[in-house]
Amino acid sequence: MKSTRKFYWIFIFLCGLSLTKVYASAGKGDSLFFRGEFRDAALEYDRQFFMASDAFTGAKALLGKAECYKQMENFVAAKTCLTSITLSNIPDSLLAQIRYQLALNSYLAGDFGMAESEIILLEVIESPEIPASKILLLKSLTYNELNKYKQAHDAVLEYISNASVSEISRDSLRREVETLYRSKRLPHLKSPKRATILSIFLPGLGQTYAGYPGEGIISLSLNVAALGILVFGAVNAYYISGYVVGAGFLQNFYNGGQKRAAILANKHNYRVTREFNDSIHHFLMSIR
Amino acid sequence: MNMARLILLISSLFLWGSIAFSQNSGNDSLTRNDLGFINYLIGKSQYDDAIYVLEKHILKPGLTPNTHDTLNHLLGWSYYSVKKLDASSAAFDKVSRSSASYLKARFFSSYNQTFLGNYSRSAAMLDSLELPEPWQKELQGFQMAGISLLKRDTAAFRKYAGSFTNEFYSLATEEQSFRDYSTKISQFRKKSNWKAAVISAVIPGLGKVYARKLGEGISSFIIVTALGAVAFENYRKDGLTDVKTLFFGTMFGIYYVGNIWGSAIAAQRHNNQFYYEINQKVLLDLHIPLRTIFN
Repeated sequence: MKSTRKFYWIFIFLCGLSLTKVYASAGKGDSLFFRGEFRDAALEYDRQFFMASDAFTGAKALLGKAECYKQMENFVAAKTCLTSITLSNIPDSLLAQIRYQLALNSYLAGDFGMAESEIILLEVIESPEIPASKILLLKSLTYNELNKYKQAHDAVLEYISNASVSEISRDSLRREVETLYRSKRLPHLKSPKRATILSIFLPGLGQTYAGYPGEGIISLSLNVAALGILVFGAVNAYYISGYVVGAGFLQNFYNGGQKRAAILANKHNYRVTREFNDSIHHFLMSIR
Repeated sequence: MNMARLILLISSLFLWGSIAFSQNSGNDSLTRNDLGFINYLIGKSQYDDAIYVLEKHILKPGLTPNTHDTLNHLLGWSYYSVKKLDASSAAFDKVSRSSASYLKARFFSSYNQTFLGNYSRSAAMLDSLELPEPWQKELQGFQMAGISLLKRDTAAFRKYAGSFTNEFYSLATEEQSFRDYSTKISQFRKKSNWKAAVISAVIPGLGKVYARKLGEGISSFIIVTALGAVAFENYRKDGLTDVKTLFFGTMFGIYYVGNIWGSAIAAQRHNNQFYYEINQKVLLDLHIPLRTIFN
C-alpha cells in the first residue's frame, strides 16, 4: 500500500512536469506579446501552430500571430495569416473572433469588399465574444468606405441604439446622424468618362465639370493658342512652321486635356468621399 | 505488483520518456522541434522568419558540429531563397567537409558567386572540390563551362564542353543549350557605336535603325526633319538673325546632335542587350541542374 502511494506521487510529479512544459510553450507567445516583442511573439505563435495537435489550438495560435502583425501595422500579413486558418472543428466563440479580426484587418488594409463580406458572415454567428457595438462600428465605417451610404446610415443608427449613452444623448445623436446623412451632404461623385467626353466636345469643359474651372480655362487657352499658331501659319504662308508647331501642340493639348479631365474627376471623387467619410469617422469616434 | 501499480509504472515511464525527448539531447541546445519548426518555416517560404530563427540558434553555445552544419546549410538556403547571395555564400561556406550537405553547400555557394559576377572566386571553389563520382565531375565541368561562357572565354568553354558526356539526364538539355549559346556568341556581330553615329549624322535616325531600334529611328527622323524644316522655312522667309530662325535652328541643332549621340548609345544598348540575355540564360541553365540534383 505504501509503495502504491509512492507510485501515485511519482506519477503526479511527472504529470505536473509535463503539463508545465506544455503550458510554458503555449504561454511564451502571450508573454512576448504583452512585452511588446511582436516579431518574436509572432514566431512563437507560429511555433505553437506548428506543434498544435488540434484545430482549436492551431487556430488560436494563428489568431495570436495575426494580432502581432496587426500591432506591427502589417494588416495585409495579418489578413493573410487569418485567411490561412482552417475554420472547421472550432467553436463559434473562436470563429467569431477570427471573423471579426479578419473584417477589421481587411478594413485596415483597405480591402473594404472583404471586410463587408466578413461582417456579413460574422453577423450569422451567435457568439457573445464580440459585442454587437464593435461589429456595428466596423460595419458603419466599412459601408461608408464602400460609398454605400444607405446601409452605412442604418448601421450608424443601430450603433447608436446599442451605445451606452443616456436617452437624451441618444436622441441628439440620432438627429445628428440624420443631418450628416442628408442627401445634400452626401458626396456627389463626378463621372471620369463624362469628364473625358465633355473635353472632347470643348477643351477645358471636362475640367470645369470635375470642379476645376481654373484648369479648364488654362486648357482652353492652350488649345486656342495652338490652333492660332496653326491658322497664323496657314494665313501667312508659314506652312511648315504652322503645321509642325501648331498641329503638334494642338494634338498634345487636346489629347492631354481629355486625360487630365478624367484624372481631375477621380481626384474630386476621392477628395469629397474622404471629407465625408472622415466626418463620419470623427462622429463615430466621439460617441465612445 | 497489482494492475494499478503496473499501469502507473507504464504511464510514468511514458511521461518520463516524453519529457526527456522534448529536452535537449546531450549538450546540443537545438531540439528536434526547433529543427522541425525551421524546416516548417522554410517549407512555407517564410524565409525571413527562418533566417531570424536560424541566426538566433546559430549563436547558441553548445551546438554539436553536426548541428552547426545543418543550421548553416539551412541558413545558406534561406538567404539564397531571398536572393541575399553574399550572405548565402557566407553561410554555405561554413558547412564542414564531413557534412552530408557539404557538396550541395559548395555548389550553391559557387553559383552565388557566379551570379554576383565573382567568376574567379566561383571557379576556384569548384576547382578545390574533390569529386569521386562521374556525375559530380560532369556537374563541376558544366559549372566551369557556364563560367567560361559568362567570361566570353571561348577557348576555356571548348575545353570544358569537350568533356560533356550527355549521359546524365539532369544535365543533358542544359549542356546542349550551352553549346547553342557558344555558337550564338561567336556568330554575334557587334554593332559599332561609331558607325551608328556617322550613319545618323548623314540621315537622322538611320543609325538607330542600324542598331535594330526601328521605332526610335523613325521617331528621331520625324522630329529632327520637322525641326530642320521649320528652321529652314523661317530662315528663308525672315533671314538668319530672326528670333524664330534662331530658336528653331537651335532646337534643330540640339535634336540633331542628340540623335547622333543617341544612335551611338543605341548600338551599345543593342550589344549589351544581347550579352545580358545570354548571361541570364546561362545563369538560369547553371541553376536548373543544381536544383534538380540537390533537391
